Amino acid sequence: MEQEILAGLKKTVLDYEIEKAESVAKDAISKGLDPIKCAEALTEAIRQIGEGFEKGDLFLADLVGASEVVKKALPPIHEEITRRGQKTASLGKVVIGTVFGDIHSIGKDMVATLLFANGFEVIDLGVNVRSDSFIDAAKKSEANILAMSALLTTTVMEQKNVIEGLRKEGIRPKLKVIVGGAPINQEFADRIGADGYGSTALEGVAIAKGLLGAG
Amino acid sequence: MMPRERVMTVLNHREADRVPVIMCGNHAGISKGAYEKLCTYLGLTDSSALIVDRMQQIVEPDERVLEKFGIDFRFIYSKPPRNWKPTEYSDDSYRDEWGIRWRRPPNGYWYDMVDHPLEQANTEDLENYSWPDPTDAGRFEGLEREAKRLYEKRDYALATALAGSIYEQSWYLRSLTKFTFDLYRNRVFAERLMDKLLQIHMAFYERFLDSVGKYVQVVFVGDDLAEQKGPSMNPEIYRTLVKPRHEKLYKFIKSKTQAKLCYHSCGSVIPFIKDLIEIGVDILTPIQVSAAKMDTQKLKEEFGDRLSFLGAVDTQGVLPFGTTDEVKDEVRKRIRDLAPNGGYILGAVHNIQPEVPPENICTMFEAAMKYGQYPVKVA
Repeated sequence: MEQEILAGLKKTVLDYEIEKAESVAKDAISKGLDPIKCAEALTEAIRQIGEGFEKGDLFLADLVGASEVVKKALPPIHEEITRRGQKTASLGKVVIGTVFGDIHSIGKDMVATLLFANGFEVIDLGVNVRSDSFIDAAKKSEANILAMSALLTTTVMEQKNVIEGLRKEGIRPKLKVIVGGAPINQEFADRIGADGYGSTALEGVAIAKGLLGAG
Repeated sequence: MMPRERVMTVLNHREADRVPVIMCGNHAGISKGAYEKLCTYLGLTDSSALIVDRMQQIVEPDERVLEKFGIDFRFIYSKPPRNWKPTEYSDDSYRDEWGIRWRRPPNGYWYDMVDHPLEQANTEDLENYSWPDPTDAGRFEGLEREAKRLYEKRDYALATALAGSIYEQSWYLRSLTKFTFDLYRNRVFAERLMDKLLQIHMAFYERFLDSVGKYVQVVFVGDDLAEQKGPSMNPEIYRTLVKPRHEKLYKFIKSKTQAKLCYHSCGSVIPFIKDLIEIGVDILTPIQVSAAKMDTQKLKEEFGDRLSFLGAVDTQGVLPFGTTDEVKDEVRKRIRDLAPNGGYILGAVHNIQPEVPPENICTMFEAAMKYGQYPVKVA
């Protein structure tokens, strides 16, 4: 039965069943399934979607749909993990968001989902995130990586503002900063003092792993 | 050769006197920010530009600018409806006639969607939704007279602004996430929504083309199907669910006008091109050359006998950040690749954005005139 339920969770992601996501996850928990195995089923499914996207067999809309399923299914699973006092193995903690003044979320959501799929603990601050909110979240969570997305040429300088804020707070040496978004390039990332730049979501994940020595 | 004859010669896959050029309309035009800088550079201090696309902040350039660059097109725009006005908010946002709210961030170049009014809707809600009225008389007021005047008194190729979006408008209303789910798992809803949009667009085009159809040479339509890396939607889903509706709309448009149909999709659109040709598309735009596999030489080789291309001068790298020599090289390359045997109209990939230096805009069109003379002699 356990395998059936886990397969059902995975299928919910692969079939983009956004409306059923939360109830399927709650049902798995109510039947006593190990929430870590539930989280792993979601991870496996997203990884499959991510690989399909990388190969060109699946498309942006597929990744967006699957991400939404995972977003809805994860909270009850995480709640159970916390309740049981369990800890998930994690390559590292990432705080991610789209910078202040910018409400674009698709790219950021893709990166967040793929980071989760690849074993990172992800704290997603959403969009239009103020500089001090990034810094507070990074401090409180003791994040290993701060990842920022900006989709507008008029908001990219917010990434620089956040990095300067991290320095002022004295926590810049404690974490790595990755930036991304359509108007960003390597030169800009270097200029503002970021540690990494990903031109695609998958590249961002590879860079995150590389920065933490996680392969 | 006069512009209209030039454009039609080239769109019929024959060589004219030179490659036609475009910098107008709402998808091959120029943004307010770029235009203001250009006017300053050209010393046109008395130019005031009319915004023809609020969301993208696209303007209709002054005749003096269009003449200076030898622009071969002039656009005809439907007017605002009489019985509806946008709802304005104090945070530089507004609600459009589809019910979607758009907000511009501080110092932003354009407006972003901030909500999706049909995100929680069910199929029954679609019937009761407050849809725009496509036949509001205000939209067509004076259009026939204006189109006739432009057709008879001026020699430009006349085009209509992009309209008729089915896939994109669906997810604008529903959200991309929800509409993706609909396409895979809730097809009844997806099809009802797209059919409703099809019905609205056909009603609009019926009145619109009754007024201007006999005068225009190009009708712009479109739906973004791709992004930088490749398709943004599954091509099989496109073929099953969206293409039949595109086909119906484009057949209808072509029944009302002799104009060529120009289809806009950003991104790496290769997987969709054959389908678009099948359903009556004559011209593809913007030819996003910075997207994967959008090699203009290969596009011409594979599709150039059946499809014309509009745009292609790189707007992500060369135009905003290149030197004037790099702009010249870019123009030469696109002319060399796309112009032989006609079938190419030169312009920026999509609308010119505020970062593009006015020197580069001038260089683009000067180079187009210099290197775009037929027969093309660019090595």
